[in-house]
Amino acid sequence: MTRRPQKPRPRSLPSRKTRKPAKAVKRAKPAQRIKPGRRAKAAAAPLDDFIVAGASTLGLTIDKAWMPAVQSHLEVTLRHGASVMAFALPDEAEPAPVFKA
Amino acid sequence: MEWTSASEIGRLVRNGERSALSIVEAALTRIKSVDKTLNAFTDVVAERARATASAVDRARNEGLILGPLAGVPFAVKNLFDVEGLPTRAGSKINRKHAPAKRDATLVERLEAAGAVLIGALNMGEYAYDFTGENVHDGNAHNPHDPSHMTGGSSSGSGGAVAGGLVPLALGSDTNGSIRVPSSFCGIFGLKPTYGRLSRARSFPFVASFDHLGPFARTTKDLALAYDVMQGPDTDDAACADRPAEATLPSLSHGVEGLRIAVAGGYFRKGASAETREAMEVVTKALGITREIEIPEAERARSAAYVITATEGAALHLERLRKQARDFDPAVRDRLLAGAIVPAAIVNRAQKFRRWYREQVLKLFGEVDIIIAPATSCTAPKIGQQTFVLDGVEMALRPNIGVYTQPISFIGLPVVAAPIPLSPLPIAVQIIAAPWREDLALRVAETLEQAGVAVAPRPKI
Repeated sequence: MTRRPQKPRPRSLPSRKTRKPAKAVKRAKPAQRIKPGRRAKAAAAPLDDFIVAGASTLGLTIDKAWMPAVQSHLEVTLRHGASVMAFALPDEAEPAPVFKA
Repeated sequence: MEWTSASEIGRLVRNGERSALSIVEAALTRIKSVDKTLNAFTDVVAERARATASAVDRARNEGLILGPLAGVPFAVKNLFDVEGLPTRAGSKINRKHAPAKRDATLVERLEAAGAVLIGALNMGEYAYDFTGENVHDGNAHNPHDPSHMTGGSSSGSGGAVAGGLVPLALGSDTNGSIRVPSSFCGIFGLKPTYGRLSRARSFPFVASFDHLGPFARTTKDLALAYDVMQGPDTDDAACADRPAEATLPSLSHGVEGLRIAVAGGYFRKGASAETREAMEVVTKALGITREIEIPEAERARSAAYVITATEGAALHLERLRKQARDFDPAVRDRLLAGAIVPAAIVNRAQKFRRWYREQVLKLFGEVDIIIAPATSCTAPKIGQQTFVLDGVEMALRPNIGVYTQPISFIGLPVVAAPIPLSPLPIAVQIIAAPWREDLALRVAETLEQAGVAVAPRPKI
């Protein structure tokens, strides 16, 4: 049942059929730029909501003063997580700790 | 006696040239004077140590055969159970626990070999630390320059051995907590294969990655301590059912015939001038001509980061619910973040871990030893919050273990060997295949005999 793991591919890459020709990509208008401060706020808000919801579900109380640090740590952890998730593995891949009776 | 090795102390006591009690008294005196500066000890068990040492002396007088570590004072990171002490694990919360009823397995095994427990050592709270800073017990200070960090989380273990307070100490290594203090304090450290040494009756952090191991100022002392601590233990579910395999008999066999390579790629990124210098010195001394790339090492570090954050948070969830304000804020905020990471990411990290292990084990078909840096810099200043890694300024605390995490992630045995650069030392990692601690120790011994890897004596 072992299948060779595939090399990791960026998840954002569209399939060959839907990929735009190189020229079209070049000519495409750049996305509207958000000022750094605003971008941070925009990104932080959903993460803050996620933290509040997650903490509440787990019965954790997070003081308002702790939020920037918690958010910053979560961002870093999720960034590491994204790197792990971007690595393609077969469905049959076993996690490292496998229970043996 | 402060710089006498454990093996030499054992010889002196066995031969009757020194009493174990006199050795212990000398160590207690030194701790009293020097630990004001280093803050390595959180508990000194003087009466117990005197009683144990007296028992060693009595046994000798009765003509009994003494163990190889007879009369050797040692101390343990305060996450090891020591009978009669609460196992604080660097925290404020745990020090209110009931005193431990029995010593940790490794303490019992060292004492069975004649060693004498002298105290418990400072550490980063709950071992989630690479700095050696602790808001509850005060920061540990580097013996080579007290304004610098010892590294963590086995901070007191690094400071006590490097500072000549004890010749031998025990610590834990989840992501680098033996290798980082070894590097910053300039001593030898051994992180054995995952499952090799029992963790019974020690406070956990990340069960998937937790290892225990020794620190010393010589390779021979590491091997001595490691050999007497090996063996199965049903009290630790992860401890391998594998007989002891002595490393001391082959320690001086040299590196002839060993295939040694240096780690390239990821392990060359972000290295400071000191890190590069240490690697060059070792590469030259061992005559290494081969470079090898550990595949996906950076992603391995990411996966280790995720598993650490989430398993650590799961362990402390109840304490985070009820006593969040009693944590060190730097630890608490990381654990709170870890608590809410989606499970799918953790599962994928554990799957990746198995894939990565298979790839790295293939490399050990081609080479016997891989040399890599232990840290990307020498000991930072205490209080330093950020450092520059690969041209990017980033938080110091979570990122000191960039080179150690991809190795402990799959439980490989590693000896951290100190290279005595000035003004501060730094270590390299000598990495072997699982269960081949003997090879890593042989390479460390070769470097030590050549004067390349040396634990420098600080001026304190």
